[in-house]
Order: sequence, then structure tokens, then C-alpha cells
Amino acid sequence: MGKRMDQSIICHDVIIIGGGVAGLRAAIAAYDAGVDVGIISKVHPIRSASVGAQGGIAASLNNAQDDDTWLQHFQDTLHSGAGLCDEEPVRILCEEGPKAILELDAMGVLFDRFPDNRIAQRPYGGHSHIRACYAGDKTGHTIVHTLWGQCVKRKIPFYLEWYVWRLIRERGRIAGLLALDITSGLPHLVKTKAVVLATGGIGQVFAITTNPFASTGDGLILASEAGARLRDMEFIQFHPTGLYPRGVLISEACRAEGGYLVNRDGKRFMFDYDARGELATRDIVSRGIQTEIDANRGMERKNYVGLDVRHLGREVLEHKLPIAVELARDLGGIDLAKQILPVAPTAHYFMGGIAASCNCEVYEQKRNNSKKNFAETKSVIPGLFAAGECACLSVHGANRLGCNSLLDAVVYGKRSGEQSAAYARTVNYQPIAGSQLREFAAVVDGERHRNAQGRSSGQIRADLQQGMTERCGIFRSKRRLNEQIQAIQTLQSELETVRVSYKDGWAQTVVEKKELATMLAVALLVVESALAREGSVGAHWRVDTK
Amino acid sequence: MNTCVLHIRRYDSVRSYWQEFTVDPTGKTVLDALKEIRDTQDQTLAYRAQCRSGICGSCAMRINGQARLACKTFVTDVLVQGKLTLEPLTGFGIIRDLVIEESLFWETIAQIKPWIEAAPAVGSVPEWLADESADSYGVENCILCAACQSDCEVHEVKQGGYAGPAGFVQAYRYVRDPRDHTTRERLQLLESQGIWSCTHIQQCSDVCPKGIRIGRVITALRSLLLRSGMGKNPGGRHVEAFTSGVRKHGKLDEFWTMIRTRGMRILSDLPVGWRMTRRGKVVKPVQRKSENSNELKHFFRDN
Repeated sequence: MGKRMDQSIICHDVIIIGGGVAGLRAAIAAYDAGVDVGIISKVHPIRSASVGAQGGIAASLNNAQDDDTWLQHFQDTLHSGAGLCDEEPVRILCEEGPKAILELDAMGVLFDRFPDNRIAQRPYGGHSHIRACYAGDKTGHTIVHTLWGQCVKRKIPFYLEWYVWRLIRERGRIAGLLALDITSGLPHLVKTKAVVLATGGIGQVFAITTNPFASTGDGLILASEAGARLRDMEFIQFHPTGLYPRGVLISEACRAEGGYLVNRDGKRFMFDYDARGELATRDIVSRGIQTEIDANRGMERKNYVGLDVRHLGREVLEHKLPIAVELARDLGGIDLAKQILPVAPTAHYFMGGIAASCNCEVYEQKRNNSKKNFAETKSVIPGLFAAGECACLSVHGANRLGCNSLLDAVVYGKRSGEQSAAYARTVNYQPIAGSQLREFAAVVDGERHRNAQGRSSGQIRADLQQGMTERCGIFRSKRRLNEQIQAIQTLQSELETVRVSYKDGWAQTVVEKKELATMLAVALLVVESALAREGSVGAHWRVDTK
Repeated sequence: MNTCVLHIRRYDSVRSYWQEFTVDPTGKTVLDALKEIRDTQDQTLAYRAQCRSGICGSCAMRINGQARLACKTFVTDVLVQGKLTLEPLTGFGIIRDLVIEESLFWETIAQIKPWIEAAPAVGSVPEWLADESADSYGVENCILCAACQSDCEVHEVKQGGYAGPAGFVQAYRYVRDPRDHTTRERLQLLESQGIWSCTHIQQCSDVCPKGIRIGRVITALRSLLLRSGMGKNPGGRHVEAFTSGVRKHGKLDEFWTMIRTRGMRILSDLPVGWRMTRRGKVVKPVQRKSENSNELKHFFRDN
């Protein structure tokens, strides 16, 4: 037994957890900075949430006009974030944006192009200028495929379908982590000098979401358990146009290209809510849609409104919105060139996350801290970095601007890779007690021999998701939030008896239980934060307070 | 309640067996049904799935014997007399139930070098030619779901050294990228990756959930190889002999196609040839032109 344990110890200067755009970009940057980097991910990068990003990636390239500047992008971002963004990280995001796009282009991303070969750009909700670079409506797909290829080219080692169980800190510093290989059920100890968390969002805590099954907020709890501070947990972006009733993403590009939102009277109702109409920021459009639905003005008096793109014509639809056309046809049975698509808001993006500096260093949670905590908790966890959706710097404030998430993942992914590499050069590996792996192996073994006969993780998860969508959605109130806290606590007590059918090998059921515990913890923080913020701002809207 | 039966191929690393599950198919995709089974009937049922919208490529599996994405296939559309069968993709090892040994697939794709070999300077504008920027076969839509690879009969019998339809799609995506300057090396690589082994049964194009015209992609790659002076092998010779026969006679010239494809190696086929001749299976070396073969001349001129 002891020998096998030794063999399963893996060492890398930097470990990236997560294989989406942020993780891949971080790995490339760390590799190019000359350190030994490895990627651990519970899904293959090509299967990650990032491939679902559709509409585009914003930067003031000025390819469609000539009066855009990073400063305008900066202002639009702050405006969309309802004043809750941190200015310095937004400045970096917008200033480095154009270069980040050109780097992607040089790596091989297949952006759509104008006739003069420059990267094409289109208008987008909340942007004062035309600055969304895109590849049809599969922008995330082409970026992920390209970055993955670049990692393969560099022979960066991947540990795929590995689930990170816990981070290990020794003498205050990040020293390694424990991970379970899902395909074999074998536990592993990974030694490292630095960890970059790039684990993505939390959409799966909701019943209606655009996010894939893997978006369970793992990184938040890994960080929190290692002593990190989480912030802005109440801010969840609901995307206005999820395909009803599944909630899968229908790109904002549909509206950016000229589509309308209509209610059951056929009226373009968004102008009642904002002068920008369908291209107002997402928080406003989602609230507009939900208000129409709640006022019984949904199409056919049901819980959805209509997305009308018929006037764009088949040619534009098939060239610029191929994924929307495909999803409408295959999942909705709708021909977008002829019919109106039923859409409703769907949980899409998490603005909050692991509190991090502009250099992606993760801030430590101070015990017994005073109320005005932010200025005081600038101490960071040595060796822990975060980037992408799981991190909160905060560049998105209370409401993310469309096309800024891919940019965030690329700019701060790269930055986290560089910073973690620079840090890793300055430190040595920390010794880790051998008992850590033995104890972890015993935990996994315990799951195998569990004989609890309660409900399955899936059933409990479904209850959580339903409750979150009903009680912690676009419109929130103290009463409903309190109900949800009760509900989550009840579900948490069920964790004791959750049924885990696990024999040997493929360890999905064990991971699902761990994911469930993570999701419950994340959801509780979201609801508690929503309860604590009594005012309405950005994507967080309280109907019971002013 | 409306019900249907899912016959699912199970494998638990010891034994392989079929198991039946009953679900209500109303409004459900195959993925919805699988999720319901795992949540409420059998937690151990293993499959991969992520995005639910046909972009991540996780949930490709054989549904009624054909590779499809579970998330885009509605149960009621594929039911045959109230039943359907679910099996893992073929041509890969199986880890558990519907979960294949995907690492083999990724290694195959990596062989094709899915990256820009020598990156251009950041900020330089590549010279995209008008016909290059239009992706007429749809290769940019590939989600690497491996459906084509599974249902490719050549991939199934080849033991390695065959990029397969998914590999060829990736190869084409990079061959036509003006930012990459290693086209010749890429084409040479394809010769060792079985580009001439494809038998044109077009199963890949039929099963591709993204509608990529993979058969056309393979033909386009072969044309590029021949135009670059490559293809000096039975595969390449076969294509040229086939084409010149059709050009000359307006139909397949079996005799000369065979001779030119096999070259001197045709001698080793003599015993077979003799038996075939005795049974009247070998056509005469002299062909009559087919009617209207002049029309074909236009075709060749235009293409």
C-alpha cells in the first residue's frame, strides 16, 4: 500500500485547477514563463463551460469605428457594474483587452473577419461602441479549442477527470492538494508551490441555468476551506434569453444583430424599461422580461416572452447565429427564420467569488475581523491564485457587461499564470505529512462502505436547484430568502444519509456527493448575502426594500 | 403514464450486460432520460454529459446503433416500438457503462497537431483569401464529440495510425489556416495517418451532429495531397487511375484502375486474379465509352 502511495505523488511548480479559458490561458502563460505547470480538471477542457460562451469578447480594437478607447470600455464596464466594480482591475482589463485579443488571434482563434481581414466586431448590450469580437455565436468554442491546442503543443500535462478534494497549506503556504481520479477511484497527493483556481461558475445551484453540470462552485469552497475570503456572493447574472423551458443559452448576439423581445401583444416591451431597448444591460433586460411574465403578459400567458429574429433573414441567421438556429431547431422545434422563439431568464454568470487582487492573489479571510473589512484584509494566501468566473477582483461589480467574461478569463487567466509562475520561482516545495494521503484514502474508502439509504445526491440537488430558482432568482425578498435558508439547512442535514452506491473504479457517485455538499455551502452563502444586502443594485434586486 | 423502455449496455469493469429501464419519454431528450434514471432509479449508471446544448461534445453515444448526441436527441424521435438501445461509442475502450476511454481519442487528435505551428507576430493581419475564410464544409463547427470516429468502419478495424474522420477535420481546419505555414508538413503527416485508407462510406458525414461534410473534407485533403505531388502510394494511384478512367470512358475502368493502383504488386494477386477470371469476375481491359460521356468532359473542365 505504501508503495502505491509514493507512486501517486505528483509534483509541479504550478497547478492550475480547471480547464476552461481562464485555466488554459493561465497554463500557457505559466509555461511560457518557464515553470513546470500541470492542469487538473474534472472535465476535459474541450467539454468545459467556456465552450458554451457564444456572443463574443469585448475590446476597443476600433475595427468597426475609430473613436473607441479603452477608457470608454472602462466606463461602460463600471456603469454596467452599477458602481460596484473595483476600478483598478477594470482598468487593467480594458487596457490590456486589445492586446489579449490579438494574442488569441496569433494563437489561431478563428474570429470572424471584415473584408479587409481585420477581426470583425459587432455592437453588444451595454457597450457604447462596437467592440464585440466574435466567431459566429460560438466564440468560446473557438477560443477553448485553440488554447487547448496550444497546451497540447507545449506538452503541458493534463490530469483529466480528476476532482480536487482539498487544498493543503503548510506553514501558511499552499503546499499541495488532494485529488480523486474519477475514472479509477484512486486518491492522489499533488505537491505544488502555487495553485491557480480557475474552476468557473456556480450556475448548477439553480434549476434553470445556462451552465453545464460541472459548474458547481468547487473552487469557492476549496479556497474558503483553505482560508480564503469570498465576496459579492449575492450577485448572479440572469441571462435574459434562455431557451424556454430548458434554460440553455440563446446568445445575446441575437439581439445585438437586431432581434426583438416581444410580449403576448406582440409589443417590443423593453423600451418601457430602458431607452436602449433590447440592448440594455442584462440585469435590466432580465427584470423587464420577468416583469412582463409576472404581469401575465408572457406569450400565451405562460412563463416566457418571444425572441423575434425573423426579420434578420435566413442568411444572416445562419452565418452570424448558427448555434441559435441549431438550438432553436433541435431543442425547441422552432425555425428562427419563420417563428418566434420562447425565451425566459436563466442563471448565467456569477459576479462574486474568491476575493483576489489585481495580480490574482487570493485574499485571506481574517478571523474576528471588523465590519469595515476590505481595507484590512489585504493579506494574501501565499501560493494561492484565482482567475476567471470563480474569482472576484471585482471587474464585473453588480452586473457583468456582456462579452466581458471571456475577456476577464483571458486577461486575468494570463496574469494569474504569470504571477503564479513568478511566485513559484521564489519558493521551495513544502514538506507534506504522509498521513494526509492516507487519511484521504480512508475517506474515499469510507464512502465505498457507506450503507446510508437516504435519497440520492441527484434528488437532493434537484430540491436545492428548484428552491434557488424560486426563492433567490431575479426578484428577492426577505421572507423568501429566509425560507430558502431553512430549506438549504434541511438539505444539508440530509447529507448524513445520502445514498452513495459505489463499489470500485469509476467514482462519479462519490464526487457527486462532494459536489452536492459544495453546492449547498455555496447556495447558503448566496442566500445569506442576498439577505444581508437590503438595497437593490445591479443583478441583485430586492422587492421588499427600497 | 406514457412509458418507454431504454435498453442500456452496461459494463462494470468485470462484466458487460444489457439492462432495461422504464421512463416517461414525454418531452425528454435521451440525456434527460438518463439523468432521471441516475437520479431516481440507478445511481451507478455512468455516462458523460455537460452543456445540454450540443456544443461540448460530451454525450455522444450509440443510440439505436448510431452515434448521436444524447442532449440533442428526443426519445420519442428515436423510439422503435416503444424501445431504444443505448451503447457506448465503438472503437475505444470502455471505462464504465456509456463512458469510453476518451484518452485514446485525444491522443489521436494530438497526432494531427491541432495548433498553429509557427505563430505569426501578434497584431499582424493574416492574408485570409476570400475562399479560405468561408468554411464551406463546416470544419470550424467540430466539437470533437467522436461520433464520426465511433461509426467509421475503417477506424474500427485500424489499430492506430489512423487519424479518422475527426482527425481529418482538425487537419483540414489547420491546413487551410493562412496563419500556419506548415501546410506541406501537415499533408505529409496525413499520409502516415491513413488519409488514403478512407473507403468513402460517408458514415462520418451521416452521423456528424454538427452537419460537417466530413467526406468532402477528406476528398479535399486528398486533392491537396495530389496537387502537392504527394500520394505516390496505392491510395493516391487509385484515385488518379479511377479519375482518368472515368475521364476517358465515362465509367469505372476496373481493369486498369486495379493494375495502376497495385503496380508491380499486382503479381502477387495473380492467383486470385486467375480464380476471378475463371468465374468471369474480371472485366475486359478494353472499355467501351458510355453514352453521353462528353458531358463528363464539362464536369472535369469545370472542376
